[in-house]
Amino acid sequence: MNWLILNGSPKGELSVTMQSMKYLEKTHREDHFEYIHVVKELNTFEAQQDKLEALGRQIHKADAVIWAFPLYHMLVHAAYKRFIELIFENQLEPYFQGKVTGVFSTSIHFYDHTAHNYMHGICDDLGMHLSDALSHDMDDLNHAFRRKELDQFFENIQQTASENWGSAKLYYPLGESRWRYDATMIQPVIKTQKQITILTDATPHDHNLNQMISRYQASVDQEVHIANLNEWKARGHCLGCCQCAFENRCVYHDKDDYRQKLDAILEHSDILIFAGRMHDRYLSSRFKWFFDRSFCYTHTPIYGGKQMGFMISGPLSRCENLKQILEAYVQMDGNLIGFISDECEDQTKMDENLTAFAKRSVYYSESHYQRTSNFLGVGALKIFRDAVAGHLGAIFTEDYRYYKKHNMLAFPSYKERIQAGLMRYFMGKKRFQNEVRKKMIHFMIKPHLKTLEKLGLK
Amino acid sequence: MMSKGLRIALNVTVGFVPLILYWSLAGEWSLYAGAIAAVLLTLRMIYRQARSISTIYLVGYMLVMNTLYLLTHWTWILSMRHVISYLALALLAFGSIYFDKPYTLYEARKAYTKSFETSPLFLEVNILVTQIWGVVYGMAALLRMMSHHHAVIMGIHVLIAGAVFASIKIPDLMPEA
Repeated sequence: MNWLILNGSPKGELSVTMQSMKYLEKTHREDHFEYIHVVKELNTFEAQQDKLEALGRQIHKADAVIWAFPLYHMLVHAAYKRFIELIFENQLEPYFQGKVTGVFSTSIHFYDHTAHNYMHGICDDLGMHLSDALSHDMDDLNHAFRRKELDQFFENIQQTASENWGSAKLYYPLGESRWRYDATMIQPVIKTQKQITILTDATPHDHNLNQMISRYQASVDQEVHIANLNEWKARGHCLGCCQCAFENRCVYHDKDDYRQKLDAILEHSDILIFAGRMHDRYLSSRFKWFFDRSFCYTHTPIYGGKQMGFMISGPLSRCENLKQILEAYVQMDGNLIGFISDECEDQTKMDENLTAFAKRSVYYSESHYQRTSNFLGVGALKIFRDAVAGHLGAIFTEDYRYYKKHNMLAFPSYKERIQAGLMRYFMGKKRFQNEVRKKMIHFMIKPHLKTLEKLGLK
Repeated sequence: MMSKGLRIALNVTVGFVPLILYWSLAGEWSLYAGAIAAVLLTLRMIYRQARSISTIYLVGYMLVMNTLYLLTHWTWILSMRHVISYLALALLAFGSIYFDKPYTLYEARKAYTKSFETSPLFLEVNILVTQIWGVVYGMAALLRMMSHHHAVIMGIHVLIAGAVFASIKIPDLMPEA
């Protein structure tokens, strides 16, 4: 069989993900493997359409394609994302149509499901037959049972291709709206001293998005700072080199605008609004570039409780995966104001919604509202905690210092563990267990009743 | 506010005054003082109408020791008083557990509400606490038999301090009714 591996790592052949692909190649010598180092070659694909066409023909010739990538900020690398955009922009979908495919990623399992959801959606949009998806931990190749799993993943794709099984679509096209929003400009209705920044990638062609930004600006009696990512001088994408691990200092630190502009936003914003237009099943690759490069702060929270919201032009309500990514991003250490999209297709309603969104952002900020995290934030922090307390903390020393200082390496306390151990011991006693069963609900509310009693609210 | 575990521990300590006197005073006066204290505690128990197995057991123990000493003048009753007492306490602990009436239960009751006294949770917690004390008493008797070196005595004190700590903490960790 002819396999085409679309490598999504900026490290090319030296990537952790590629070692798994090399393993497959070496254990299946009867098959032929070709590698396209998409991220490394992105500039060529951007500049030369014939190279893209040639790649399309390669894909067409292959019996199966594997999208193999390391996780970058809950998705694929920004350059991989750009490559996907190029496929659609250049109408190369026919080359992918009907092709059997698999998705393979390596990560620490931090929001790997959102990356896989995204890729599944893209495969469906391209008309590919997604046979299987496998998300490995970075070290899984070193474990025999995980290699067996990788073998099975490979065989599943082989089987799908040779038996012509096909696959059912899970993600249907998001569709595109032609509705044009023209904001009604008003006298400012919101007075505040809070500093507001709108971070956007809007181009002059993003009519609705620009109008949404204008309406928000017009609602507030205060200068709203617009930070446009397209105006930032950028040396490049995140290289995945991890040189930032030791002092949270990227190799591009003072070589382009990124760090200085990001730090200025962090310093001068109480309210931060992300305004972007949806491109395929995410925002633009430019926005992805912004998120990827924020890894200069590695796994350290940077927003310090800012109010954060999202103004999205596009079918956000039909893309739960993107909503989840954005919400999870805020839950790391910000407070979510909410989402607003241009889907309502009603001028008056849109005006009202945007002003209400602006009012809410200011009100939350002035009330110092900090909503507790749900699973998206709590689960995320636990994964980081375990990683930073473990082997990751050995390299990401700045993370370790920060987590330690802010008590983020807190596992269940000894008191809790002893208490749980004792309870397990007692629960082994039949009459104790029976009594607990009988009074379970009462025990559950006992501390709450005590609190109410203390507050004089019994 | 004093924790329930601490209140129980204090109740138990008061119950041990006869033994404390028996161990700390010199000569035969230790026996008499222990017996008097045990009788006083029994009277207190009757007055309060709060049954305590350990008080009944200790008054019996002190009376037996006094009677034996007065009748026989065996010197080991004084020289081996620690070992004998620890063995007697270990017997009290394991014996009371055997009959499903751990002796600490009676002291602990004073710190809890009536409804909780009859709870199986309360009983199981006290079985564990009494087991801990039984083991500590047994070890203390063994150590005392083996040596009178001050390091050994210090070791016994550490064991007892550990048991006191466990007696205070374990009930506090439990969900109470």
